[in-house]
Amino acid sequence: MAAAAVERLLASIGAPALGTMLVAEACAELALLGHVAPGEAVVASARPSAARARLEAVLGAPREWRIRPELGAGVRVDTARGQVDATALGLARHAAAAVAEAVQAGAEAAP
Amino acid sequence: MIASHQALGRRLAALGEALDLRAALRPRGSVIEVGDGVARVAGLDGVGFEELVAFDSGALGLAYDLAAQHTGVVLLAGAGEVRAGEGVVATGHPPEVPVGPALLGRLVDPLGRPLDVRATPGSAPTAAPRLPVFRPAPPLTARAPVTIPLHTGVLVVDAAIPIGRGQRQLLVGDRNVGKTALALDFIAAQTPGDVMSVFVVVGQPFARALAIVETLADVGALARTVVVAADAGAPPGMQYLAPYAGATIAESFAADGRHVLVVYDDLTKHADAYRELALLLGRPPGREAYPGDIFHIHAELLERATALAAGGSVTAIPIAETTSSDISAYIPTNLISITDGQLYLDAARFERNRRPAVDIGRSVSRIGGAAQTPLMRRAARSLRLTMARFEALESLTRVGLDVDPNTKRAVERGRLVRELLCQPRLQPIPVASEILVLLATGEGWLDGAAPAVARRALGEALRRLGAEAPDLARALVDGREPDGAAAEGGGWLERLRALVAECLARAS
Repeated sequence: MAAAAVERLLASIGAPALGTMLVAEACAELALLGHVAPGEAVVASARPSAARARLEAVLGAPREWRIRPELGAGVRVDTARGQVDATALGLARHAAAAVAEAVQAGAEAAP
Repeated sequence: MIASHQALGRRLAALGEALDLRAALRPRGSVIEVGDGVARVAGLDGVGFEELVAFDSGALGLAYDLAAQHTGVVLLAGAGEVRAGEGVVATGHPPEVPVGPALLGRLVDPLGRPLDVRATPGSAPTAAPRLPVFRPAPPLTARAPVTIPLHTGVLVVDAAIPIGRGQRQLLVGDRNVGKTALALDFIAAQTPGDVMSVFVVVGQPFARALAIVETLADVGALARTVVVAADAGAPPGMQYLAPYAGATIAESFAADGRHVLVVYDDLTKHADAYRELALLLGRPPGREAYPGDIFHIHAELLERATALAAGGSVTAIPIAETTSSDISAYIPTNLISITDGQLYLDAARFERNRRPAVDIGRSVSRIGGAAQTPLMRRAARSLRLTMARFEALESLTRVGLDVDPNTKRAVERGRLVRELLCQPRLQPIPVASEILVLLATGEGWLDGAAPAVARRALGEALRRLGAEAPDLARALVDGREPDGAAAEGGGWLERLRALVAECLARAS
């Protein structure tokens, strides 16, 4: 339920702006991850991304670029060193987990 | 309009802060490949050995193979949902299982999630306090010698191969010789009593786990028992985890000063699950393709069973299955060397309907008499000898040879004892009755009597004992030889003999 709520909230902000912001965040995280060899990364995005050039500046040309509408907005990048998931779906899932954890902590604290 | 956008921005920032959404953007692991209960994951650099990892799909895994380029993950819950390319995060903690009274009467998986459909009043097990599944065994200084008997209600066990509270006693035998049934008999004997039980089902059909729960409910033992099941359809990772989860649940009760009996049914299948995982993770195979640390993982598990100096104990009954009665196979010999004794169930005895099919000659308890009350020790002292002699001599009488009166008497007594040691399932014998049977046969009071007559006489004697000689009845229950007033009138043993003789005459 929390995931759906956050997803609706993010969609209401306006996907293009959110997508640009998430790509920027992904680029920052990928820069921290270290060198990614050209042709190594697999990128998934909700729609053909206008920020492709920006991402390629960090990654080089990706091995594959997949379109996955269920991601909502942003990009998910898989490399040999791990994954950067800067997508609306990822944020929603994280929010759901955070809420579930808080609920469980509350239940355990209750007498 | 601008003001409303700014307000929305502020609210979003606060929401992001509260939910720590920035953490969602940080690099994490990614599944490279998955199959057969294990996954290879890239990018889990900081993960610890046996740390729990969570997949985007909600599946859980155990970081088990920490290689330079990837992490081998043993899949636990939701193994079928994991796909290549899926994100993985380390949870920062080892696998845990809920513990405590909320689990009593429940059938749960090794992560403590209910598998039963029964609505239970009170708290759900998942809301109970949690403890790590993998825990170190108690240190030597926290342990106490095994001296308190665990009454199993099975005459042959309590008399000839006694089990003490805190002991590790292996149940070994071929398929379908009554190993699980005997373990259930042990649990049934704990009601009423002060011993709680944990029954761990590994690699068996789920229907069997349900049947075990039903049996325990029928004998009224379920309310004091927790059943942990990783059935044959569960991922091998869950089967591997199950006995450790059972040990943790048992330890939590023992830490409160309670006595706990934990049955691992069975460790042969547990070893098979571990072998499967090890081979899939690319570990070098050893004898019978088991990995080199197969002895270690069972020793680590069984070391957790002990009597505690502060009170409380965990008694472990691991079960091992043999093939063609080959007790010298790899896993059974490992377990025999780890445990404090074994109960060997013989297929030939089982087929001849001599149940429980315990082979006294091939069974042993290294705790022995230390786990018996003085009176039980005295009553059972000649049992092994009687049975060994009988089995050696019985073949002579089968071929119709003339034998001397002493041999004939030994054979007849052996035959009677053998019949009296047969016992229906789930009908535990009280201690007093066990001692009376052993005294009566050992002292020769029942010599010449038919088994059915002897049973009737002993039943009658026990009933009369309570009314006519409560001091003697009390002594039998306590397992201590009566003294003082109880010893008057020709000695307690003579009084008992006279009573049995009178009952025998009436029963005849």
